[in-house]
Amino acid sequence: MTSTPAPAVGRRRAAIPPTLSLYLGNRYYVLANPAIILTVVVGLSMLVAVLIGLATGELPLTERLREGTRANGGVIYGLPGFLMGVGAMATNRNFSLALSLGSSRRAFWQGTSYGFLATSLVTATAAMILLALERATHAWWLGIHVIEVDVLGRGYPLVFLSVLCTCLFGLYLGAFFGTIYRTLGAAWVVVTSIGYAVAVVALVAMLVWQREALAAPLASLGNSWWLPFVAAQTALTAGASFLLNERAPV
Amino acid sequence: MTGITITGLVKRYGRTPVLTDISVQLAPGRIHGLLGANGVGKTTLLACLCRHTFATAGTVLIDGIDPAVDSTVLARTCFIREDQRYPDQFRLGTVLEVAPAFYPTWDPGVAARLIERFRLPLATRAKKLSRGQRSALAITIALASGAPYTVLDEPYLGLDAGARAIFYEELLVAYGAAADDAVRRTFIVSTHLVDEAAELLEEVVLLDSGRLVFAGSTEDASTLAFRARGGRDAVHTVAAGRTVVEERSLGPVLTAVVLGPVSAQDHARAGYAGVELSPLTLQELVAVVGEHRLGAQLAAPWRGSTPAPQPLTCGSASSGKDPS
Repeated sequence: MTSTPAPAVGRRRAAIPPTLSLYLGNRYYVLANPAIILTVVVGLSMLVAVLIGLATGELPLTERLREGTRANGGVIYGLPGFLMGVGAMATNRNFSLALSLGSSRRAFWQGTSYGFLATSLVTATAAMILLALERATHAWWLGIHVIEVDVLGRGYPLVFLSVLCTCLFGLYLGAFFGTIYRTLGAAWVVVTSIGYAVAVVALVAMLVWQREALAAPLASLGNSWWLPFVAAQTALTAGASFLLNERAPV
Repeated sequence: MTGITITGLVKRYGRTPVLTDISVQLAPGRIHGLLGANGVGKTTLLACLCRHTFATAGTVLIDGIDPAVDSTVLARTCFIREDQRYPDQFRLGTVLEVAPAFYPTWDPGVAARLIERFRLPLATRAKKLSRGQRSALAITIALASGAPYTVLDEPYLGLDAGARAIFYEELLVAYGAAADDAVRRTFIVSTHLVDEAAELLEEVVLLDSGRLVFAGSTEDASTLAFRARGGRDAVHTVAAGRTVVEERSLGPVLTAVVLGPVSAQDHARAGYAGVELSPLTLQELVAVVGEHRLGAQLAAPWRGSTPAPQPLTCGSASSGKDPS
């Protein structure tokens, strides 16, 4: 009787996990696109500011309008949609190919999570570069703020952390729904979406209800009060999709 | 223990049984053909084997290791599915850049040769590939991977005759590439073009309605049923006491497909009665099993203690004389 070689289990010791290589297969899509979205947000914000200035006859922008741009949430609104798509696609198409190429579910999840972290770190670094440019150009020559805004916080560390958390949140939320779609089907995506929306509304209602009790601890976080909630949701969706992934068929 | 051992495998989707009590040992270093009509559970069996889906009951061991316990053993497998999906943004070249990361045994020379022979368009997006190009890509990955256990699920779909010939040739090259039997790869090929692939197959696993009908060498498979051709009465005499699953008349000549192996006595009786006995080809066997739902009838004697089967050879026509 012949025998097939029996390599030591888990003998692959590549510098980069194969499943991370798979995630990074199209680097432009997963690494460059989010940074490009940030840049587009800057460009669109400048355009909108000019249009507002022209419409109100306050060009160059007055101090009131310049400070008003601190409320610009373009970055927060612009990134998660795309990143949810990246997360959902990664946990569907990449999953199928990874398992076909002999990966285990756990190795797939590990490599994909490294990939999510890579996307988030690159995007947060891009935000740092844009923040440096924003400061160097005195808020894009027009006095408008896109990166150093209230919701992201002021200063490099807070902006970095905010963008990092936003990216991870979008990616893992996409991965969560993508895994539900693969494991349980489209109907359950709808059911879970409704359940998720109800949970978010309930959370907001609880925050409003308990605002006096929460005011003091949240006030210490300033404008970044939302970060713990997003971080908690990211952890929940990541954990749930990990568990689902372990039982997901191709 | 090496090879793949499947024990009591059951797979149900809801209440619908797809695989029922499959137990089979796939010896290492062989080319196995997984045969059966459409919908008998071939792809599901392969999916359970590579843990793409989960068995309802039973176990699969790869080299003695249960992937449910130690999933890293799956690194020894490569199973590009017939309906394999690729990331939307990937071009064909991207897929072939990523795949080597999964296999330390990846052979870039084989990949380059197959890309050229199949004329694979590396710049085309994977989702835009034609059916034949997808099959060629699957074959390229599977053969270049060097995976000890390589599963090919309907690998030739959409391939023209020339491309299929390339596949058969390259499969044999990959199979024979090992310097000795100890490192020979194991191939499991699910196929509908049975006759075309028959010469490649050393072992056969035949399924019907989710049940194992037969597992063994291709030579042994030829003993599952035979064709008897001659005068009506003479054929009936030879087939007496046997299960005749198909009869076709052309004038006075009757051709019958009879289940079971042929013994020396059968040969003698046929010779005496002027009946020509010939084996069914694998393709004919699969067709007969599928058309007449013969799984249970064939599986029973095979598992039982029937007399030692005697392989038929084509053209074992009798002389029409009494052998005595």
